[in-house]
Amino acid sequence: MWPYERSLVKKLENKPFVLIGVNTDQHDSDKLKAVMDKEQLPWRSFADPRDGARGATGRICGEWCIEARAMFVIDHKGVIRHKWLGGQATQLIDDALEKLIEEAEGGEKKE
Amino acid sequence: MLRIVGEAVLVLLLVLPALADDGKSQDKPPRPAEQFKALLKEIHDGQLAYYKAYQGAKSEEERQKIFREKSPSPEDFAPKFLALAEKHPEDPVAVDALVWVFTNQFGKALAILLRDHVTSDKLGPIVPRMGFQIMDPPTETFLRAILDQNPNRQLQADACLGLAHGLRYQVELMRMLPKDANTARIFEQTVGKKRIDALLKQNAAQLDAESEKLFRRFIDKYLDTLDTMQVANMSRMRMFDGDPTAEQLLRAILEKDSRRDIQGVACLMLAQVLKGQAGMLQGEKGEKLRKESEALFERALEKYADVKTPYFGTVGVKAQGELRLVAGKPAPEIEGQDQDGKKFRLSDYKGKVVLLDFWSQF
Repeated sequence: MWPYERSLVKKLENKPFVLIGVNTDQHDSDKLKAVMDKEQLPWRSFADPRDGARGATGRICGEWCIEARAMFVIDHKGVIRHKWLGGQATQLIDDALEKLIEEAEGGEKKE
Repeated sequence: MLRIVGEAVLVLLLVLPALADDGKSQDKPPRPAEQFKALLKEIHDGQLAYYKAYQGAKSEEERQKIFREKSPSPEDFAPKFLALAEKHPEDPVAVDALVWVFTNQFGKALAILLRDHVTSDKLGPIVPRMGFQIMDPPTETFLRAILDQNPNRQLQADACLGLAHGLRYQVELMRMLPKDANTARIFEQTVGKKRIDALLKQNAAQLDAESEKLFRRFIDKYLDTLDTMQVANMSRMRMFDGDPTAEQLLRAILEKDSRRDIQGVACLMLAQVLKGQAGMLQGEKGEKLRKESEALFERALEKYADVKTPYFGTVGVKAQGELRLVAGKPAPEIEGQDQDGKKFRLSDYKGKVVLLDFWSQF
């Protein structure tokens, strides 16, 4: 998936779009930095270190009820528009983003 | 009379330590429990020595050599544990020895357990997981023996559920393997062609009926042996696509179990399981399941919000998350640190479309 994500970030760099990660491996910031440098992941990620009170997950994953890979698309107003658990076809992601970016840009390109 | 008894006890108290001392000083063979302990210690010491040597190695070559010559191998000890158990079937430590061997020399240990110890109440570490794999005939026989003969209700329950689930899995394999050459080949490689051939020769309808019967028996008799941990794990007990086991058990708990914490966790888990199923189904069927799942999350929030779950805080927090975290609802705030240790918030990016990606390195 990462080649796709890298290309997405590059393709949309001048658009009202941002990819934000939440790492689910319970790394702290330092470990996360090392992993992201090594894998060359050019986006900002929340670190979500293990949260003792919650048991097996970090705080963010706990609050967002994440157990495995997941993606959310949030529109420019902060509303969740898509939620995908597990992987998703990149074409679907492209289409969803394109539509919402148009909305964010004021809809002037709407057909 | 009382006095005599009292004196007898006193004498015994004096004699026992003396006997124990004798045992040591005169080189009599140590008791089975001591032999068992000594074996465990030998393994532990061996592991420690290996670990130290490995850590102290100065070159990769030396590490390789230590790995080849000193790495502890359980096979060396299995015969000793087995011999101990064979020699002292009357001693409770025999079961401990066999449970140890079980992970290394499954078949042989199982046969002796079946022969000598099927009524032991110490089989808890091995029985619960036995049905959750492709059962070979000895495992099946063993579980049946536990169910029929073991007086411990928890073990009966574990054997009953394991058997029911294991048989259901066999029926599914009989249906699926002939249609799916690729999977069939993988199974043949892992468990052998003979096992697969034997499996496929069984009577599927009969197995299916027996499995159903065992599930009903579990629900009628043993539902109360489940704890919140097991209930919380049910969303993960799926052994094949469309495995109905979790749903069936969770519905039974909601209907019949009177414990509130169990009901709360079951309500949440059933909602979760149905949601998962809905995600895989198209059209009306999926929609119906999705609605039921949502209603169950609502019910969990209303009635069991304060119930604690083993993994993820309270039922309330989880259910709320499930109800809020859907398309059309505002994204909850996230506050945290990025990979550079800098604090930031999800809402910092309002005005942009955000692809929020929960990712893992693995």
